[in-house]
Amino acid sequence: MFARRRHDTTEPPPGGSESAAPIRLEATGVGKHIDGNVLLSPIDLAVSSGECVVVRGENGSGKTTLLRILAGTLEASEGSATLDGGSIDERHPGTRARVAALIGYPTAYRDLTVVDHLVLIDSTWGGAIGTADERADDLLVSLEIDHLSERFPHELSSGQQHLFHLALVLFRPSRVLLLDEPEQRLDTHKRGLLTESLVARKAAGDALVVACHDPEMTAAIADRVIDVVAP
Amino acid sequence: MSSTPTQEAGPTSDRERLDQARRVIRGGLPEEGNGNVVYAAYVAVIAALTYGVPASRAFFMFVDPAWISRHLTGAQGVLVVGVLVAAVWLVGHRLGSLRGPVVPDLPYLDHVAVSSLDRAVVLRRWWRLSLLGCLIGGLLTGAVVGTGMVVADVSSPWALLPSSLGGLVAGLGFAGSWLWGQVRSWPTGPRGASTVLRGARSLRALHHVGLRTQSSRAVTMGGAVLAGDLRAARLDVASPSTRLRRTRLRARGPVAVLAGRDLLGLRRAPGALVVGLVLVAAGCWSLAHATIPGVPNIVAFVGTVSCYLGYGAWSEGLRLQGDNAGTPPLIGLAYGREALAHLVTPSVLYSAVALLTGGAVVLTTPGAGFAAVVWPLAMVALVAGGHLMAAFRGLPPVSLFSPGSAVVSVAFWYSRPLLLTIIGGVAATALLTRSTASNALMVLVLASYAAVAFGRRRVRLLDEGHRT
Repeated sequence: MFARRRHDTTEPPPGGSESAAPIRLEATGVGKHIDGNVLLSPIDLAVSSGECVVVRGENGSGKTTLLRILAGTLEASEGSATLDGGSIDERHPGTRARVAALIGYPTAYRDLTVVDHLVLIDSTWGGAIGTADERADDLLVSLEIDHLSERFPHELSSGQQHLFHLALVLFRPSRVLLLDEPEQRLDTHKRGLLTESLVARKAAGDALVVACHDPEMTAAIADRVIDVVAP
Repeated sequence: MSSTPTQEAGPTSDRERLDQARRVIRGGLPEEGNGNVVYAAYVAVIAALTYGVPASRAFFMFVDPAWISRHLTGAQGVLVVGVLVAAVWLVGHRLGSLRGPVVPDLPYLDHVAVSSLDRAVVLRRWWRLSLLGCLIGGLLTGAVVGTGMVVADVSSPWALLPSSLGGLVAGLGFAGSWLWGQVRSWPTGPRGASTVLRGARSLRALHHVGLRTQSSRAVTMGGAVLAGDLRAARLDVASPSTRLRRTRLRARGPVAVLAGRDLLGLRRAPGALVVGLVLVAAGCWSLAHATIPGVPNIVAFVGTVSCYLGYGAWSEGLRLQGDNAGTPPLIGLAYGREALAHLVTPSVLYSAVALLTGGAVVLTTPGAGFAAVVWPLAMVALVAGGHLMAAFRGLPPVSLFSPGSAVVSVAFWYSRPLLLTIIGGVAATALLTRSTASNALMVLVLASYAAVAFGRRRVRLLDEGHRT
């Protein structure tokens, strides 16, 4: 139980032949309403490996709802969302293994440091034990928060917290990256670093769907822009 | 000719200035505080007579008066009572660091407490109210316990006097340690032993920022309790970790790394580790003694509750996962499997302590046999299942504001894990000495299975609940 790594995880292992295969995330006429209140008007979206779709729209237009449906954490009231032709449900190990999302704030362990969180996440996804520390440090360096590696989450500022949350999502293996306004609370320099990181993920073959209000970041990462119209 | 207007003499002393400020705050309405205090005391006395005395009598009848006479008289009895009182005072001290006896509302703190008035005068009212509450509470508790003993024929009527006086002293001590805990919650300024039970000196030592924090926390916790959301209250009072930041979590397999995470979390929160150790050791010690024929069921009851609380002190990882329900997954294990992985560390710690404690009881207690070693250990699944239920219970289906018997419903809903653990643990232990071992084991296995199965169901429901 404890000695084994990949055999024991219920998720498909990251990397390998699956990671090389193209992936396609598609939403057709997806909409969401609860008790007559429309949260998201029907919308179409498609993104494949190596592409980035930026979702824009005014506050309350349904961008986050769309991302939650694409992440499989919320069921659409109408239309369908598919990942490689199959349904998206975060209860399915296959969905979890391929889709990483930063929608809202993930709750952190208050008794683990920043770098501990990365090692924990990596280990649960079957990352190589010998290089976990090194890879975690590299990611923190790439976001220029390596000096925060031994801080606890409650010791971070608002912007640092956001970078920490981004690091958590970027560090876990995935083929689809869903980010809800990743530019918020970041200064201009950090937005540039994040943009570089997302461009690199796209070049590595990941599919990205990003809700974004920053025109510069949108211009740098987007292959297509979809405007969500408020219901 | 100009006349000089006659100037009304303003307040001169701090007390007069405070009285004037309070009149402004009340908008000219009369002071109602004293009447409320008298009414609260009246209700407390009625409740003690109506519910406290019958409950106390039933408790002493249940415990077995003869056993109490044998074991809790003389020096042993003084020692037990002394330990209990010391534990209550320690709890008071800890409580003071979270929510002390002096917690005025925020506007009062921001507009009156920050003035040049003597802080001892400004805050005295809250301290006196808390002190009075502690004294009345202590006196009533002592009187209820004494009356219960008399009615249950455990002792003579003369016991009522020392028990009431003892309760009064215990209440005074609790108030003192409570206030001292609040004084010591601020890291600088006068906070030594010289402030204990010295009201004015202690009140002057209270820092405005500390008072604001506690007042704000009291509002948050009050709202959380009224809404039935104890999770929010728990997170609000949790101490932030700062220890062992340079000790890294080692990469391991998926389950082992979660167990390692929980162990590292305990090393970074040594208070929880020690509290869990003391409670589990005391609980296992009680459960081991409960396997000896003739020992009353109350010992099994105390042991089961203590084991449950001690295991809970080690289960922060499990509770934090419950808090995370509904967020996009970051951990690479299925939700249910992650929950089971979080049971590994507390269960291993519990098992080790149970074996050591049971072995110690066998070596030191005449009449204790092999069951004294095995029985506390056999409780691990029941206790773990109870905490699985508790960590993933989510929010109650009704709020305290719901019509009908909402308070009772919410209280029952929250206490279900503990109730199941107590009923299963005490019933099985009772059968062990009064029936056959196989019957006791069957009840324990059934209760453990029910707790774990119900807990896993709660995990699944909470995981899926956010999808609708």
